Amino acid sequence: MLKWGPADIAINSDEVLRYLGYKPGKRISSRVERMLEREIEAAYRLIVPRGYFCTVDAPALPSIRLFQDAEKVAFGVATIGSRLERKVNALFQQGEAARGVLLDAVGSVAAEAVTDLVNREVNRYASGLGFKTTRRFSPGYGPWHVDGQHLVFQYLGKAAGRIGITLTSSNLMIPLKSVSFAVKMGRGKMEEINLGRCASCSMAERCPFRHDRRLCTKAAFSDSSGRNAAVRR
Amino acid sequence: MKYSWQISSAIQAGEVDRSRELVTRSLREGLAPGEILDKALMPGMEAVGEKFGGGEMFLPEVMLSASAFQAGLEALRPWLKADDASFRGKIVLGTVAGDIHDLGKNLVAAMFTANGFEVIDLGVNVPAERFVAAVEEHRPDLLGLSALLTTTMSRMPEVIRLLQKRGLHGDPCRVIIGGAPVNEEFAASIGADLYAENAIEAVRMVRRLLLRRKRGEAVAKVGAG
Ligand code: B12
Repeated sequence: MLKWGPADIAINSDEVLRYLGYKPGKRISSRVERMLEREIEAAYRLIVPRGYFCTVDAPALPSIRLFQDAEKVAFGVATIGSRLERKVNALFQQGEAARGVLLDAVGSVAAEAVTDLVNREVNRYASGLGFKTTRRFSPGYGPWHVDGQHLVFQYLGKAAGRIGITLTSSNLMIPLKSVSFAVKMGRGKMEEINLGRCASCSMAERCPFRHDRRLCTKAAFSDSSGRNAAVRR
Repeated sequence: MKYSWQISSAIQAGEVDRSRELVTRSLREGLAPGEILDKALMPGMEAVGEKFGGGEMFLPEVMLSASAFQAGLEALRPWLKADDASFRGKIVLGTVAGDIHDLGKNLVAAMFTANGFEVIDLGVNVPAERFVAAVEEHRPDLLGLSALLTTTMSRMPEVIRLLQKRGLHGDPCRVIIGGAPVNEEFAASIGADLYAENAIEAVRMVRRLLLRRKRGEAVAKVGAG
């Protein structure tokens, strides 16, 4: 099990604003800015960052085209727990919808940040074995159907439950603020999976997060963003 | 109308107390409640919708505006006649079975509430049977369904089928659906009446539908008379 304290999670307020649809560089009202700061602070008291990953020999996997050029595949999960979600709900119940939206977006960014940390552990493990890695990719994004959750959770086994994540029969993870992913490992050249980016996404036309030409999830960010490159070092 | 500009801008700025105060003051000065609603509160919220559509306002601000509108409306409500609230309607809302994502649904509920609708929120993981039972009980103008994933969105058709089987689909109860993986095509393919990309758009569409229906009914009555 991978465990972190809330302070290990970097919640970037620009990232939160991006989730909420604000265009980068555009100034936001000082009122929303203050509200956001408050919710970020609150989030640090609500998140419980946990993660886990395992690796599988690629040939042992059912013949899925996604993994064909890998030697090993790492399956990972990350979560911030369910306390933040419950707080968001309570805020809505109290008629504090604006705060609710803000805190929820903060939670999504935190969940992605925990996923980054799990991803980093995967990469460290891989390089210890002399393997290169691809960027992470998730069931439900791009070419991988959300049914792929079954495969991921089959290999994660009981460990997912130990960090508090359960997969429902409809492929939904509880807590909601959880992410699952795969990373291909190998010595040869491996194809990146989410290269089609927005083009391969069902939401391409109407996604509110698209205007700045960046993606809704870091999982599919290109190397040129520098983010995953930093993670890999 | 006096104060219409101030009230409208208080709403756009999400100033809850100011909106309430201004409405109260307008009432005290003898302005007609229906006028305050139509010429100050509604235009305020409409401007918010437009600014959101144009990328000038975002969800947190829209929600603050919704609260300001609601505060104004609450101050007004005791003085409104049934006829004044021309947009008023009732919506039953929930996230489908197998899904527990409630943010989108909560935002839709908040927007409808703020716009004077009666909202019956059934919560998350709602089986088809419960949706239909709620429609039977509350006789709403709209049934709203929400889902987060393609897998859970696939639970929407069974709700509509059951509604149809009980003869409850169609006027007065129309079905509106939404959620990240949902789109217009999907809505059409399962026989939903409306699809809205976001909560603001949803209120706009529904209001248009209800106004049309009201006019239609009025015409029918005239014709019958
Ligand atoms: C933030 C986010 C996350 C966050 C938080 C998730 C959460 N539920 O809290 C994190 C990072 C944790 C995450 C995880 C995952 N995600 Co995600 N996520 C998103 C994202 C970017 C935004 C969702 C969101 O919260 N939006 C904000 C709220 C306010 O919007 P909303 O719920 O859509 O509601 C609005 C409208 O849809 C509409 N609406 C909603 N309901 C209704 C109802 C009616 C009646 C009406 C009229 C309108 C309406 O109005 C609302 C307000 O305007 C979307 C992509 C996108 N662009 O939407 C993907 C998306 C939902 N995720 C997706 C996927 C695949 C996943 C994962 C399965 C990935 C993985 N393998 O880990 C997991 C699943 C999580 C789980 N618990 O099972 C896919 C789902 C598609 C599919 N294949 O099913 C999406 C669509 C991305 C994509 N482009 O493919 N995700």
